[in-house]
Amino acid sequence: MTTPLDMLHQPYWMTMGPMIVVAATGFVVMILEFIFRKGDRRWLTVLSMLGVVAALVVAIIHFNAKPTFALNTIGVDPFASVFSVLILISALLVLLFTLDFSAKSDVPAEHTYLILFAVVGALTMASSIDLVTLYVGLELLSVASYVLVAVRTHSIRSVEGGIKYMLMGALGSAVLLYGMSFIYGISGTTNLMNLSGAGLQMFSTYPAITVIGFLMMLIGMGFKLSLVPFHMWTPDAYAGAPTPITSFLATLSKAASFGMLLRMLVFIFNAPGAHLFYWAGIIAAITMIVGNFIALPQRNMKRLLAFSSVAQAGYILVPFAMFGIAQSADWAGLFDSISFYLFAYTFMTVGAFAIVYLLERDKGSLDSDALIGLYQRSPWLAVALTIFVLSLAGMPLTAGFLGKFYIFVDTMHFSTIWLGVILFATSVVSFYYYIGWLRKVYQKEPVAEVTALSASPIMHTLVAVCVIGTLALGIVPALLLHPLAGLPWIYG
Amino acid sequence: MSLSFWLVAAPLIAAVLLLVLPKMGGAASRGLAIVGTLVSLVLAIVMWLSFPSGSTGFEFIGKIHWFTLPAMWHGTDLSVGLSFGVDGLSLPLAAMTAFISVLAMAGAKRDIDRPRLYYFWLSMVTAGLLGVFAALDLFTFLVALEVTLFGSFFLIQLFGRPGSPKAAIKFLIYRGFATVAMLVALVGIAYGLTGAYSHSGISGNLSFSIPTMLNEAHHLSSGILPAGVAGALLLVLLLGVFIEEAFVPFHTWLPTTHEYADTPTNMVIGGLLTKTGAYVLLRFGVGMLPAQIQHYGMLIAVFGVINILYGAFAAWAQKDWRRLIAFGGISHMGLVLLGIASFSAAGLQGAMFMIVSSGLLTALLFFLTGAIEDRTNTVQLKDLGGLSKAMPMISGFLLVAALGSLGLPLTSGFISEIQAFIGGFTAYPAASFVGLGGLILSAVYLLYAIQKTTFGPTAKLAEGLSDATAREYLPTILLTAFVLLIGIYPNLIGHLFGLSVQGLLGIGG
Repeated sequence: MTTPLDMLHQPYWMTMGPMIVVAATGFVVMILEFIFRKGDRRWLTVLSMLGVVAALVVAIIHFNAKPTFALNTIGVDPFASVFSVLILISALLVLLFTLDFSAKSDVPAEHTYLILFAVVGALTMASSIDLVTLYVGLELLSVASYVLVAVRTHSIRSVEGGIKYMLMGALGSAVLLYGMSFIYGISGTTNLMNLSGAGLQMFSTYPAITVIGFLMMLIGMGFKLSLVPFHMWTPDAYAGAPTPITSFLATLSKAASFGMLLRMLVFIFNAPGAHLFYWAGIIAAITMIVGNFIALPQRNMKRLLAFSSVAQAGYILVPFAMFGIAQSADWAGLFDSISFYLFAYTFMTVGAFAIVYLLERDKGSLDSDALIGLYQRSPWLAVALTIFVLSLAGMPLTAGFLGKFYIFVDTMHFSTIWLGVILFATSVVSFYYYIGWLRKVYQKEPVAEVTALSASPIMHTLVAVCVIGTLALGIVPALLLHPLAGLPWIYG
Repeated sequence: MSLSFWLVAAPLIAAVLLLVLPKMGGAASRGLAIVGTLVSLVLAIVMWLSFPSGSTGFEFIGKIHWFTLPAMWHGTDLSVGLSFGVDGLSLPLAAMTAFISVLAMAGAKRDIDRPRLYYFWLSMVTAGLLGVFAALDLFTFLVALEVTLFGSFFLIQLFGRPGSPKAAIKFLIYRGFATVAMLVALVGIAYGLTGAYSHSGISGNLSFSIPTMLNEAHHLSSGILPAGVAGALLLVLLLGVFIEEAFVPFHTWLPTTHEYADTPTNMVIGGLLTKTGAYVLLRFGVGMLPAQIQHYGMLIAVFGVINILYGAFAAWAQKDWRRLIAFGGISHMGLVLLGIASFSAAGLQGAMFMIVSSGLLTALLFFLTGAIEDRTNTVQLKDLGGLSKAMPMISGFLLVAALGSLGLPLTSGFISEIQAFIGGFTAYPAASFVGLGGLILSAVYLLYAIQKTTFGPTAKLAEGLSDATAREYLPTILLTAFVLLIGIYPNLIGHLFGLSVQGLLGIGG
């Protein structure tokens, strides 16, 4: 038992540094927002970004720290470090995005600190090893996200998206919690470290309940990750939310949820997992197929990216199916392919949303016809969009191809080649709608006079960072692949 | 850096320059693209002349280490790099690629809309094709294959005839699936040969190096890769090759593509891009899974004969020259399958000859019909007629190309068909006998089309048309010259093919 005195002597700074920094920034920004009600308040967003940068520095300082846990609950280990860095980088991109957005629209300033609190939740999901704190982190992220989606209270679509997201999200949380309660019921503990040792015995004593627990946790998180058939809320929430928030849902929220799912499933079900993890493969296959086919007829750019992100979640879920087959010595490769793809996915998705946002603002429409003539209006943004779209489609020399290829090599080795085949075959289907965009980008605008597409320096910076990220991970993937594969993911 | 590296890099550098140099007009863009590909052509000739006699392996090898995939299940990291080299099989194909591409660029019309973008994509496709033929690393090969896929897509999409976007999407989807099937099969073969079932035991390191894979395949004759796995891999590979080569029933994309693409694109797609599948089958199928090729020989041979006949019948039924040439190409490539299925020296050599011959003749036919279309605005057989009076030179060359296609002696078509059939008859006489019908049919459909086009009463639209211009003479004469040269002196490319056939049969025998 931890006594109150022990609680004072925990290594909080080392284990929770990034969370403390981001949460403190969130409170400061919240108070400042109350005080300064007038004028241009974009400096609040800049302040938030500084807080996130500070948290990133703290996370990197402790990156290689020996696995340590405060109160046996929250801590730092390679898994937490990688996902914290990923979450903080995408938070930085999203905040940069909102910096431009809040200057141009009437969105309430609350969204800045709401994003920060959501980041705290996401960091908790990445670095917690207790089901209770994991769930608290998830709820913190989710509740903040519901509000963020519906933040434009005067827009009916925004509110509709927010309500749908909240209903489906709450359902997912409930299912997840129910699944967790089964695991607690048969093991008597919520601590992942204890559960990881108890797995085999648990399974042999209560096989049916273990299976139910596994599936409920997978399905619960499936709602958050918009896996098929739990994806219904995705297009409405994505289309209704302000575009920076959409990019937040698509990247940061997804990365944190994948981190949490991975941590839970691998820690709890490692021993009996051989056939349990196969369920993840089946859901991945359904998600890839349905996500890509349903995206085909979409004309609304944000809805199309929503379905594309459903399909992308399917790709990322593929390595999950192999945890049951692979020996724990080989898990590093699977962790590597999942986290590499998440990094790649973050850059290309934020970049694509950034350009969609510029077009949406310029044309006042989300129809994909807004893409027509983009190459004439801004060659640089057209080329950038080409890179993002080709990366999402999986064209060589981009991060997306390498991520897929690496996952494919995994499936080859772990005798789940059918998933690899579905992965690449559905990618071909996705060519159709991604290339449809490119066709319009390079099509000539019918009007005689071509107006340049205006974008602020902030947006140019954001797009440039995403282009560099997408290309760098595609051309010199060793930058990230090797450090990630070399980490001691499995310890103790 | 080795010669084969620059062979691929030269058009790529030209493409990049086209993209970054400001203010490039039509003539300057074309000039730059031609220079890039011409460098490749010169390098290919240099390698040809200095190719070590008697070498059955890869020469002029150049490697650049790119990155490694972290080791997951065995000792060392999986090295991925850019690696190029040529052997007796790939050098003639690479030379043909540079040759046809240069002529396609030089013969292109001068009034192309957005010339910079056009020659950029044309150079990219050329570089991709050279990369496909010269790649010695699986990753390099797959990247090059995707470059050809997207490059051709944009050429069809952006510069085709009205309605081309639909054809471009069809092209992309079909060939995209072909690429996926090949990716699965090739990575599977690499894994099967060098990873899991390596002759040196479990510790075998997965390698994407094509020479290493070929080497392992050689040891495999002792039967380490389970026959079932190898058979499944070959069937997946065949699926990819069949789509890539537009074999029945996966053929519909090719006629549509040719119908909508412009002339230089048609020369590159018809003459070169549709030959990559046959190359893959020779390199990876015959080279790495020889026992399975023999095991499924009957299947391949029957498929080949079906395509010979179907292609010929379908060509006969066409009313559009471009679709006719497309189906004629399918018929020719069916003969390649028959030659490969025979798994004999003559058959394999015939298949290789047929790839080159069909490439040259298809490009020539597309160029000439393109020249006719420039003047008459149509390639519909019913609208044409009596062109020989107005344009005797174009009509004459068209006749030569048609005669070459139907396999007249002293043309490259003859030497290809005779060898492929000799090979076919030794292994599958019945199938080959049926396939002979294709020879007769090819004479029927080609001469019928020629008669409709050049002879007969002069059609109204043929009046007052001019004959070939200087721009058109260059590709026409050079392509015709090589068709005849190979027909008269086959050993020109035969000695290189002979070397690689020895290499391939050495493994299989």
